[in-house]
Amino acid sequence: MSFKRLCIGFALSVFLVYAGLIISLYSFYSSEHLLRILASPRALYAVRLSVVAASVTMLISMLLAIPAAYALSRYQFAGKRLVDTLLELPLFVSPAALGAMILIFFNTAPGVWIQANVQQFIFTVYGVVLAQTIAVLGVAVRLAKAVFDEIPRRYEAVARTLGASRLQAFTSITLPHAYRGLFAAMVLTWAKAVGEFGATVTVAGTIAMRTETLPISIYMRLASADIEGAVSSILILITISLVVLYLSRLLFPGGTYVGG
Amino acid sequence: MLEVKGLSIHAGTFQVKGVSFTVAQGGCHVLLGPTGSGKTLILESIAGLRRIQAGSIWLTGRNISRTVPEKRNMAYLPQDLALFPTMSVRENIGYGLRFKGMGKKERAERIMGLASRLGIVGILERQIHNLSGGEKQRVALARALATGSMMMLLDEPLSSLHCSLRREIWYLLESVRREHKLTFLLVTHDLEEAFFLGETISIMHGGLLLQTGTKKEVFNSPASLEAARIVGVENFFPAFVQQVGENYLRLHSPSLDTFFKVKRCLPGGLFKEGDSVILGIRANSFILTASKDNGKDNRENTVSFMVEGVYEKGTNTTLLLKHARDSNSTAVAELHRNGFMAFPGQKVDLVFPGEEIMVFSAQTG
Repeated sequence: MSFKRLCIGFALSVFLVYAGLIISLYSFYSSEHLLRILASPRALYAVRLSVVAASVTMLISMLLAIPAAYALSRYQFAGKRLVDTLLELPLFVSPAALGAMILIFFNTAPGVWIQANVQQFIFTVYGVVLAQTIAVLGVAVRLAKAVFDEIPRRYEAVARTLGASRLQAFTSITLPHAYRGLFAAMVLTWAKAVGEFGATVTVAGTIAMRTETLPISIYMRLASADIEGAVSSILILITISLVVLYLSRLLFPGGTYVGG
Repeated sequence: MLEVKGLSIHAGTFQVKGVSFTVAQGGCHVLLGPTGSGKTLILESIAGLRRIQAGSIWLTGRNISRTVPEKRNMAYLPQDLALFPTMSVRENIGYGLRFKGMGKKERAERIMGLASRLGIVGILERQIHNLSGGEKQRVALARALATGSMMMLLDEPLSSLHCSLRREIWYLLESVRREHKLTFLLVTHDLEEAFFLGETISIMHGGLLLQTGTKKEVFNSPASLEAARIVGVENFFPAFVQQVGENYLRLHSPSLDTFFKVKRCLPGGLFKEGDSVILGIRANSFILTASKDNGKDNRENTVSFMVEGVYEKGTNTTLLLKHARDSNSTAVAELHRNGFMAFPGQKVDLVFPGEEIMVFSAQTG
């Protein structure tokens, strides 16, 4: 077997694994049940909360990630290596551990003060956004940094000799060059946030019609042995994610990619 | 006028140390040296893109060492040209003008004027990735000229072009420089480019400035062995000083078994009898004749070699030669195509004209 065929074989195997998992859902699928769930206020709330929370998380994460990633990509500063290493934290610490760390923080003096005087996070929608943001921020910075790393610094250097300040060079040269990659980073950040469960459930709990995102809804339905309900929620989650990814590819027919 | 005084730059483990040179107003100064000699670091520092550790940079009497790049008023053309790929040719040329507070009409006129001068009017609406190498050079040049900077920093911008196009751009650069009374600082490792465009030249090697002077001084009297190599001297032979005359040196090369009379004016007191030296001569300085060596005469300034290889190079022919008796001594000679005809295996006499021989200390180079 040629190397080319072997690689294509592996690609198809990966596809089959995921396709098999999706197809297996149909063993417990009932269109009646799906329609009933789609019409229920509880499911609609879970969909709305998932989409809104993931979108807010994505906006906050990208607003923080773009300048942070640019700094990591372009400048040398004290502690840069440490910051760069900590970005991997959400990847090697489990989401539940991240959630536990957030809970512990809110039991320290500064955390208690924030809860009392700024905003209540534990067991609230704000907690959902906070947990998702902490879970995806590192990844968002890492993705945005990969985009900036791919753009030659020479462009900004030339722009500056032509009269642009650092900010003008960034906005007029780097950002237009990076927008496809940053858009891809936004989509991936959103997708990771919409499916986030471990940190969210630890911080926001499982309160129906309050902190119930789609992943939490799936967990709650499984816990109460509502398999058909869980399957319907999974299908809704998969459909929303695929529609978003498909629309993003329609916006950029060449394919969204991280790397400028 | 640009003055660089005692410039030191660190880049990782590499260092540029104590570099000083001056570029006259309206002149073209070349930083010549092999890859990795620190030329680009110097250029980037002058453009304000790299921090300097010591020294200062002065532009028309103003210390600009700590000035941000956008306030230095210097146009910079990097090796890859760095044309902005998200913009059209017109937008690229007009990029710098948006920071000059110019009106739309004035900007359009400036872009059109430059495009006409550089012959790129027909490609103004094209995207950068649709341009040929020569078109890219012209667009980059137009973008640099558009801002009205009188100082241009050119970092090997022609290195990716093929020979004939490179020459075409040389003529263009030279005419633009004279027309706009611009000052050029050009970085290159190409000897021909350096001598075509440069009026003064600084030779760089290993982060050090080896020599600076007019191109005639640098070409005819390289200050060291390394400088000689960089300006294209290809033949070096060990020798001893046998006699120091008023306006000449008499050398003996044991490996070539020959005495040489060097008639160049060398700085007084530089060499004394018995000194170990290196004798250098350009490949095109030899006079080549059919061999008359009978193995007995000790002929001054003439050495017999065997032709090892003959390589035609357009108008010139390069000969690879091996000493007739000591096979470790080799030489490269360049002949005009219509001159002496040589063939492999032929025994030839190489005459080392006394005024063409360069002498370097074997200890210090």
